[in-house]
Amino acid sequence: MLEEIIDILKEVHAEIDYMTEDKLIDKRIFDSFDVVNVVGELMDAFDVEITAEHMIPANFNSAQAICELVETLSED
Amino acid sequence: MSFISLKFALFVIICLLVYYICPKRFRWVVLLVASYVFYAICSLKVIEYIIITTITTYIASCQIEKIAVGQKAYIKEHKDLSKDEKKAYKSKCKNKQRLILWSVIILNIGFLAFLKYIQLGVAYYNYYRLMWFGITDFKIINVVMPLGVSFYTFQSVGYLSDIFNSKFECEKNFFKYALFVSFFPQIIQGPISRFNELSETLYCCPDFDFYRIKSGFVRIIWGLFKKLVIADRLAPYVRNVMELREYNFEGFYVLMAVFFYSMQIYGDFSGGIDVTIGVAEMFGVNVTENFERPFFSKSISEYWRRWHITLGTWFKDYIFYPLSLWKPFLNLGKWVKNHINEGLGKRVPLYLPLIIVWTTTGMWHGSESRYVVWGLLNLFFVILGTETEGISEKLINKYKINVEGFCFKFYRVVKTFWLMSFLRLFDINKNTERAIAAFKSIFRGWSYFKWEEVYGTLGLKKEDLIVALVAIVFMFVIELIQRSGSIRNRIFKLKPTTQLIIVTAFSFVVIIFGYYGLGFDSSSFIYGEF
Amino acid sequence: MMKKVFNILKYIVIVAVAFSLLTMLFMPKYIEKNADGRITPEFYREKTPLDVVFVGSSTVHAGISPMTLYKEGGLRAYDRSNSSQVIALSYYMAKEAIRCNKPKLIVCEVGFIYQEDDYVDEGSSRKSLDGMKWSKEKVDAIKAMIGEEEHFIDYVFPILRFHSRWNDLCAEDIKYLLYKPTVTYNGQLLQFKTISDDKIYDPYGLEEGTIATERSMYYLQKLVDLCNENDVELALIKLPMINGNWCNSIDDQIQSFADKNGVLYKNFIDDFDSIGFNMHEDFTDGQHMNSIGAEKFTKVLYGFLNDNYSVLDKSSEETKPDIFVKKLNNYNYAIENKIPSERGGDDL
Repeated sequence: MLEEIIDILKEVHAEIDYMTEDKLIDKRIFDSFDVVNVVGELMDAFDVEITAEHMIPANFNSAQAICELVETLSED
Repeated sequence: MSFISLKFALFVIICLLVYYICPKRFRWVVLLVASYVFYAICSLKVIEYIIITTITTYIASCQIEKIAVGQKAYIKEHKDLSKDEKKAYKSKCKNKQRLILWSVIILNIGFLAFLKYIQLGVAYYNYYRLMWFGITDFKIINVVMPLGVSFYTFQSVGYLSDIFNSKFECEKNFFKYALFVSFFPQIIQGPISRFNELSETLYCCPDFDFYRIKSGFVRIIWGLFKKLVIADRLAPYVRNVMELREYNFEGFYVLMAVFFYSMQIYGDFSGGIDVTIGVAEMFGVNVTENFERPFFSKSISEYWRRWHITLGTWFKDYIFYPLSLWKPFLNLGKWVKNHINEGLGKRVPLYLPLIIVWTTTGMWHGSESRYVVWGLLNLFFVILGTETEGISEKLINKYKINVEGFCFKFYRVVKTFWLMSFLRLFDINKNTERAIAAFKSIFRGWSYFKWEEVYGTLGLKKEDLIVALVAIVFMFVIELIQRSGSIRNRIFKLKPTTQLIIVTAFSFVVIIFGYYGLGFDSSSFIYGEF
Repeated sequence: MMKKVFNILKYIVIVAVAFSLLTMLFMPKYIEKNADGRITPEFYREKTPLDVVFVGSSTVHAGISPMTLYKEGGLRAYDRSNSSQVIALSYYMAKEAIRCNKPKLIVCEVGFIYQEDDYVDEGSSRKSLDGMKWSKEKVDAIKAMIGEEEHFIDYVFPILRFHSRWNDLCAEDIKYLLYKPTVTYNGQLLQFKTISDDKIYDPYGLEEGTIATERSMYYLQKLVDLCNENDVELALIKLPMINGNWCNSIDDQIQSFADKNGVLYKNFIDDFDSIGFNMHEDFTDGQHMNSIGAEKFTKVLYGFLNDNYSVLDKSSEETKPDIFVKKLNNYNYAIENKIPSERGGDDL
């Protein structure tokens, strides 16, 4: 799953090393446009429902965090 | 009671004394009482609005949380529920919560909209009655705006939305919650605080520490400097130019007014916020920053992340994200993607919410239509920036421009500054037509420019102009130094005597060069009798 | 602990001193120009017990010469008048003078009794009030005189009012920062200008039917009561002038007020010729005597006071030379050489 997510992320910003970067939001690498784009792709790819309540920096700061978010959501 | 008055200073001093004399666990009560006393002094006649907002959002937040807690308990109890049953139950609960959330939001935003638009509505009502029926008995409604209504409404609605999204637990103590809504330093002009941030320091007062007092004091003086020395000094010039524009005050006069208005509004607003944060700091409360050197932004979107930060994040978190993740928008996006164009489809869930965000941002700033135009123009430039990113990158690569170099950064900063400054013409002019006319007038009449007119008719004396310019340069130099860390911390590492000299001297500068009071027109002191 | 407290106190003192110096720097000095601003503060330099205190508007410090009263009959007098001083302010000036200096007689010039309070411009108000020492009278006077746009706090911290003088600061402000020479002669401002144009003699130029304002009459009554309570005599006078602002309706009103309250009222307008005035030598303008005219008039005024107020009788008193002798010498010198107050007076 992580690889798939990183592929999605690469579409937005190709130059980032998503295995190590853990401050995507805090460092403003991703702005709100990017996040919305990514979320749209995630919802399509994994058939999960991401809503406003999940829109906190901690959920999007790294590929790993996004992966965990998607995992929790798909369990529900 | 204005922030910039000795009455307010006296009020703060009394509150501070009572606050630190009181036992620690009652200190938040002192703040609550002070906040309501402050509110009553300023806006007693319409105090019911803030009370209603407080009560409704408090009850709603408790109810929403109760449902969430009940839901968890129910699921725990009924472990045998199937996945679908669980889902159905959850969505039933969510719908209940949603009902509470929306009814309270509509009530409170309704108040806000009512107060902002009733006068405009009545004006239209009168106008159409006159046009269609020739009725001339105009209705007049005098609405008293409750102090800080835009700020506390947004703050409490945001809080409620956070509880709905279970971002944190709701405040069970009604009075503590009432303090969050009414905290007096930020009631007049924000910032719009988040409960999880403000509550960290709002209720658990630390021990008295003189450091906080002096640090808060310096922050206040810095705010007063921006407001009194810069903003208030420039205000008459800006106003006069916009009023007298038709009398050949065009070209450079207007351009200068545009520049000065940016300085004025920044000095005024961020200076006020400095006072807010400084006062709160004296009480040991950390209020979130609202400005981050916005005039050094390199693009419009960056500018809006650094100017009135709390309003921007409010719109982002509570309007932009929910709307861009809203099913109808997402579905519309998908449909467009499949049937029309992929790129456009991607943009639908982005741009539709943005249009709503910027229209409401405009409306929040004022009820006149020019504010909507202003908001949408902002959006236009934001989108223009993102859409042309590819082209600019190509150009940059083609001409091998050093993106990190000073010149290019400087160019982007200057470009952003002037763009935002020109957009403010909508703020200083009575209506859209006048704003556009003012913009056009910049490009003519440069040969008529005379400094004497600036010093005389337009009300900015030569000495005041010099003081304002020196103060503006000083402000930006300080901001540049601030990038490498707090200046106050550096001052407070010096010897006590040196600290005292710096702080006292700076206070004197504000007292002397502040633009306030009756002004000294020496002719009124001439002994006229001989 | 003690050291900490001491340190804090030290800092407070340093800041307070710096603040006071700053205030002193920015306050107008009123010495080389606008010397009427010195009348109020210089009153406190008068340590000798006084016989008479005059209150009223600028006509008083132009036309009544306390030194001449001393020369004539040994009376020790002071002019506590200010530009545009209305009766309300005169009341507080008299009240403070009675408390500080216990004069035997208060003389109130009533020329301004018909003026509304908003006639007093803010500048004159500040010149009258800023020099007062802090007391209940000062607080009450400020409250009575304060204009709509003014704030009480600006009187407590005058720097808030005068800070914008940063652009007007001049050598005078440094020169007289710490020490200010005495420029008045017991309140009298010397000046020697004369009327250049041909004025027409018409002192009753005010429209007939004009009467005193209610507020002025209220304060005049308070002044009567104040004098009664303190066992001080009171006289009401109207100074002579060439043209301007008096009329019979006010005169009658004051006369009947005086009769009712058992005080003397004397209108000197009609004594213009008997005083021996020469219009073109003795006046600076239609309403104000110059210091030459003031000498002529004060001699007549002395006669009036001497005739009517036995408390002022000095014949039984032993005259011992005091500061007034020196003051008189200085005054005589200034009169002979026509040195006006605004050039900076002599040190006393």
